[in-house]
Amino acid sequence: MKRRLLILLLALAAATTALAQNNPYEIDDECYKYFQQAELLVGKEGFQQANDALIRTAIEKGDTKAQTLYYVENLKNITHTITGSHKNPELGKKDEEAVLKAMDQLKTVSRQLGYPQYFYYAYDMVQNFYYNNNQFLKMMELVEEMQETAKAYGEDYGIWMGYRYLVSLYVEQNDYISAKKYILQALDMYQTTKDPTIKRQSATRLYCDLADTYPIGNDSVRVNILKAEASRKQHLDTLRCMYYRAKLSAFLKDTPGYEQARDYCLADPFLPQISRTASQLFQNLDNIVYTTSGEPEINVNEMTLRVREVKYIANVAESYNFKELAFNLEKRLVAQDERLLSQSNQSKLTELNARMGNTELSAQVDRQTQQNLRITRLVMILLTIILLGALAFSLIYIRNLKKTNEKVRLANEAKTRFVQNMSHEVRTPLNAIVGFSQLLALPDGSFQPEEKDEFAGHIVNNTKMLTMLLDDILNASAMDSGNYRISYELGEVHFMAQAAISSAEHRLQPGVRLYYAPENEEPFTFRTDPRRVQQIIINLLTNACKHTSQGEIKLASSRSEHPGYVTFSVTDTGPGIPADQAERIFDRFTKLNDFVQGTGLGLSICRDIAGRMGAKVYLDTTYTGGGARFVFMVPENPPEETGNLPSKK
Amino acid sequence: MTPLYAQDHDYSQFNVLAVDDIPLNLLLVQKMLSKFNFQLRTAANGQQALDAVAQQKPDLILLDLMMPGIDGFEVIRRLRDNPETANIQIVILSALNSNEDVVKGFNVGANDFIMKPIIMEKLLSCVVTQLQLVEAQRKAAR
Repeated sequence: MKRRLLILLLALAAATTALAQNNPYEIDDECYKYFQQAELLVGKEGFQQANDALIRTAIEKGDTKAQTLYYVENLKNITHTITGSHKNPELGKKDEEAVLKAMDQLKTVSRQLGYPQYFYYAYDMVQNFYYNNNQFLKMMELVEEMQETAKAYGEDYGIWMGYRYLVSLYVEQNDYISAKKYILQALDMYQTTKDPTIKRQSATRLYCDLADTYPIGNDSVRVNILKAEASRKQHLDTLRCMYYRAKLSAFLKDTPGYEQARDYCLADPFLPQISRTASQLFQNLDNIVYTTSGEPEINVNEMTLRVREVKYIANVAESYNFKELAFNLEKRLVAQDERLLSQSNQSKLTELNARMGNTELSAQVDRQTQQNLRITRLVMILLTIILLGALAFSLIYIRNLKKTNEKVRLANEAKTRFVQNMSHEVRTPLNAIVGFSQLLALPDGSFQPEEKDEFAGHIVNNTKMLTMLLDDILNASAMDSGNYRISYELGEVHFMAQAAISSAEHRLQPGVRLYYAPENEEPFTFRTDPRRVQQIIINLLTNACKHTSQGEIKLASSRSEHPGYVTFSVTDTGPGIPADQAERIFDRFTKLNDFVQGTGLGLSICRDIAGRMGAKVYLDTTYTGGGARFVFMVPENPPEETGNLPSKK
Repeated sequence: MTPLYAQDHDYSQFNVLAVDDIPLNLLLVQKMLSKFNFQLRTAANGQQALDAVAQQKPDLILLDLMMPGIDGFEVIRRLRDNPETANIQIVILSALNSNEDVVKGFNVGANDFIMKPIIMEKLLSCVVTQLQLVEAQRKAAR
């Protein structure tokens, strides 16, 4: 028991080294002062006063972490005092109740105040307490409880700690198969978890324990010690590795290696934390290693429950050829085994072991169920998302459909209007053609030759008009089917303008003047589709002719109005176009004045053609000279496009 | 059989008004009817037509429907609403050719409907029939 006390004191020393840093707990400074006092007085007189002062100050200062630490210290003190005092291997019921009560308090408070790390620390301390009091069964139950709780909270750390306790327990019981199972689970969790508390720990202990699960001569022992060395994180890890190295070296008869590692271990005050029986083990090993003649003296009294170490010594003795000693030790182990088996603990342990297996199994089933549930949930969420998406899509689709429907309806109306309009538009020139033809066909004498010439003139003019109407319609339908080619060649600005003027001249109303006003008289030739350019200018001029009953129509050309473009403009002195109609007039079938002849397609066609050759046609809404000014910009360098474009919708 | 319009007849006592916003259409009607010796006046829109009627009541109006301002239908309505002008014979000459337009024309009070393009024989027959109807009415009234 003295030795146990020593261990705890050393643990306390380790804790105080942590305390030596300036308030590492980041609690209130005054609280920290009392906490330090309490920590130093654990198991001693005056502890209660110091701890009471801690809780008082903590409440006064409103420091919840310090309040939690009060319960930590309380539990620490109780487990310490009980472990240190009683000599009976059977634990007093009252003592146990006190420990469990303090543990429950800490568990509750740590959760309530939001310091879950101390929740597992409560288990840690009590498990240690049971372990130190040889209450393995109870410890195992507690481990089970802790793992269940950790699973419920989804905190890997609690599960992981549980594995480690189980490992210690099974190693202690010489059950290497079970130990190995939990070591591997713990290692697996260490590698896959995201829990920062686990990540802060090292895997050294697990690899060392894993090394213990193999017979000392097996190469896996060496491999796992190497792995343990590779994953060291703190001083205790290094010490543990040295301890294992010393044991391995002794077995391998590597005396210098053994001595170096042994000396390192013995010089370290924390060695008892690695193994409580380490010093006796080294004593025994020394006796075996340095005995040259006769039987080495072996004392394994303190190792009664450390079957694994006694067996190890037997193995070393065998390796040094002390056959009799090895045999005696083995004999002792068999007796020990029998004794252990006879203990009620063992059967309970077996039972618990089976239960643990079941728990593992059910945990596996649970995990599977959880996973299935997660998949189901995921599928449900996905389905919901898909459904919502589909719903949103249909709503949008329906709205678009409605919009499209409305557009189609409007387009249909426009088309109907167009057909009616066209009927009227076609019939007007047709009326003249048919009418005057009939007059011409009358028997000679009805009309004078001059009159007949006049009739013939009307017929020709109206035939031209009809042809233009039909051209417009055919152009529009060619545009719709996308079957409209722009062919680039060289065109000269003034030539195109003059050609357009002569084509439109006959449309002039009496008394209206049409003229061409170039900005620059110099010829300018550029690459474009001259026929289309002329077509658009003629269209603009025809429009101007229709709407201008007096005054003048001016066609201008300029290269400076829009640099990079040859800009034609047609300015008339007609009634003009309201600015809010500036875009509408480019729609198909739009006629601002139903009584002016035309299909209402002209400007729409102009814009379509212009768009195909990178040109622009628009109404100059900034023009204030009375009448309307249309602008037609033709790029001096055509866009790289020679084929058909999809029709503009 | 010689058509009615080809028979010799004196129409000098009649007064006809042709209404159309397109001058060429008026010219055509004038030329087609030039063999008759009635007085033919023209008007270029609905308002002008009403003014011309007010100035001198015609026996027959040859009326276009689609005109800016007061259209042909409205001209008929106004004339029929006025007892002074209610009995004028009105023949529609229109490029509107749907059944609805024809029915509408008769409904508002037109006496006949001729579609454009105008077939000369049809126009002449119609005009002659209308004028002889007026003549018969006048004889009966005496």
